[in-house]
Formats: sequence, C-alpha cells, structure tokens
Amino acid sequence: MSSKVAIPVSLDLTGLRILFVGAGAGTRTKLAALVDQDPMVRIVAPEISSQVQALADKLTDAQVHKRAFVESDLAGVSLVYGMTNDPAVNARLSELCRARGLWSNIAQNRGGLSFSSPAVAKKYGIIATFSSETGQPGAAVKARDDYLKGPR
Amino acid sequence: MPLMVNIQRAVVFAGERGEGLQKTQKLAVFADELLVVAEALPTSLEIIVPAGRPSEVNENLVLKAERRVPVHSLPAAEADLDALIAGATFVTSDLTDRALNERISAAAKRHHVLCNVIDTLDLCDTWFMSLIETDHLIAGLSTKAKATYYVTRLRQELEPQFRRWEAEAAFTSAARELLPRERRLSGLKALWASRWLRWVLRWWGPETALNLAKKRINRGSFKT
Repeated sequence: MSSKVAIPVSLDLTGLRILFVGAGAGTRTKLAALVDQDPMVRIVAPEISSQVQALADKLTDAQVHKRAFVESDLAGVSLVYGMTNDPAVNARLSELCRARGLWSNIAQNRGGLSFSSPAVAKKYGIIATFSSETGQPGAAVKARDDYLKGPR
Repeated sequence: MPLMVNIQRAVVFAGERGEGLQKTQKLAVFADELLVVAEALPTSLEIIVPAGRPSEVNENLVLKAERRVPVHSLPAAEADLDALIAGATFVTSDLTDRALNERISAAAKRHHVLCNVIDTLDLCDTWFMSLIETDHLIAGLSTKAKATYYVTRLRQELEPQFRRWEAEAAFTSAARELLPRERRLSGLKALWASRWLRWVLRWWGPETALNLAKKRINRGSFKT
C-alpha cells in the first residue's frame, strides 16, 4: 500500500535539529517562519545570503557552514529541508534521507518528499493547518484566511 | 511546528486502555506500513481494520480497503526496542508503564523517530491534529493535547464551513485546467475577482460556476 494522504501533526522542536541544505530564498522563507520558535538549525551551502545569515544570527544554536553538502551533515538531525537549485544534490539528499528514515522536504523532488508545510493559523490558542491534497496551495491559503476572518 | 507528513512506517504500542487501538485505526488510513505491539497477549497475529470509517472518534476518516496489521507481543518487542523502532517514521504508545514509555521515547530519540506517548506530555515531540478531510483540502486542529475536547467541538463546528471551502477548491482545480499554463495564475485571479462568479459558486456550486467560467473564457470576456 502506498500512502497517498499526508496527516497533519504538530511537532515540538525542542531538542531537534533541522538541516537546511541551500541558503537561498526557500531557506530564508522557512527560517523566517521558524525563528520565533528558536529551533536548533544547521545550514550548509556554498553561498549564504545575508538575509539567511541575519536570521541564523537571531537563533541560539545555529551552525552555518559555507561549503557544499556532505553526508556527515545529516548526523544528529531530525528534519531536513533540501533547498538547492541543483537537482543532483537534491536527488542525493532525498536518497540519503530515505535510507536513514529522516523526515525531509526536498525541492524539485516531490517523490522523495516526506513532509510539507501547510498554511497555518493560530487563533484562541489553537493551531489550525490547511493544506491541499490536489496541489492547490492557493485553496488552502484561502481557507486559512477565511478561518481567520471567522465564520460567515 | 505544524507539518503535513507522509508516514511510511508507524509502530503502535497498544496498552489495555484502548487508545492504542484507536491510533491503529487512524494510522491504518495514513501509514504505508503499520505494526502493533500489544501489551495483552494477542489472540491473533494480526488486527483486521475493515474498510469504511475505522475511527469512532473522527467520522471524516475513510479507509478505502481493509488492512491487516501485524501484531507483536510486548515481551518479545521489549527485548530489542531499537531494532523495532529504527527506520520507523513515527512511534506512539498508550502503555501505562512509565519506565517502559521512557525507554520507547529514548529509543525513538536515538533513531530520530518522532514519538507520541499518550497522556505523557514530557515524552512527546509529536501530536496528531484533529482532522477534517475532504477531496481537495485537509485541515488539522491542535492545542498540543491541552484541550482536546474543545478541538473536537471546534472541528464539528467548522465542518459545514469546510463544504464551502471544498466547493471553492473543486472549482479552482477544474478552472485551472481550462486555462493555458502560462496564464493560469492571472486567469484564476481574474475569475476570482468576479463577484458574480463567486456568488454563483456559493449558491449553485462548483459545476454551475465552472460552466459560467467556461463561457467567459471562451468569449474572452475577462482579462488575464
């Protein structure tokens, strides 16, 4: 049986390290969304943009390595974001994550994707997430925005 | 941090309280591979989860085909927790033995497997969200197990609203196929900008709205 449906879960990042491979716009967006939670991160990329470096500087435990990804970068991490523009790096990363059972979100490699980020709303202490199983992030965002506005 | 996850392999430690069985029913819908470790000596080597609505807790969940879930006995599994947990995506336990739950949680941490121990917050790093699922959208609601009853109530209240979101998602999915790839985004924006179309969608549903959208696209009466 192949799992066609993803399930929404809430994850406590305490004690978990997140690896970002690549340090461009994708990493910047994900980091910006996470920075309030002060996660432990490791960022590996030959070039680190100033915005990504600035976000990393806000975190208590950020390891920033300005070099190409190596397999040992996966040691001790629980979640992996592959955000490079290089399909070969993304494919290798995806294979390594699958072999190690690591949760990964690899750009340009939907076959290897094991988690994704839903549209999120926080209201009255409740976290609500909205996502589309048919590749329509816009519909999920619209549902989230409607939810935040309240019932009509 | 909320995530949508594809669960490849899940391990359920099922105690005698019955919540492990509920988790098994829920995970049967989502997990590619599922394994139960039963505290009580199992009378059979597998649990059969019938097709249909396997969860009494959430009527949204639909299992498309019957699943046979292998069952291991707890004493055998306890002897080598690492072998059982390594390579799993997710492990959950409703056992009441705190020391054993601590060992399960520690093994999960060693192998970077996400873990939920029912009613034991300090051993959890992952919580299932209360779920609303339709053909096009999935919503999850969570208070990190702090107010589960309230979340269930909220889910029930949101379900009617979800029907409207579902109609909008169904319309968007079909309408994007009518538009040339290079004009999809601008085309969808133009369609959504039409108050008349939104009104038709709301009161007559996605099929009527789609017919109207087709006419407009064919006439070229909206700008992308």
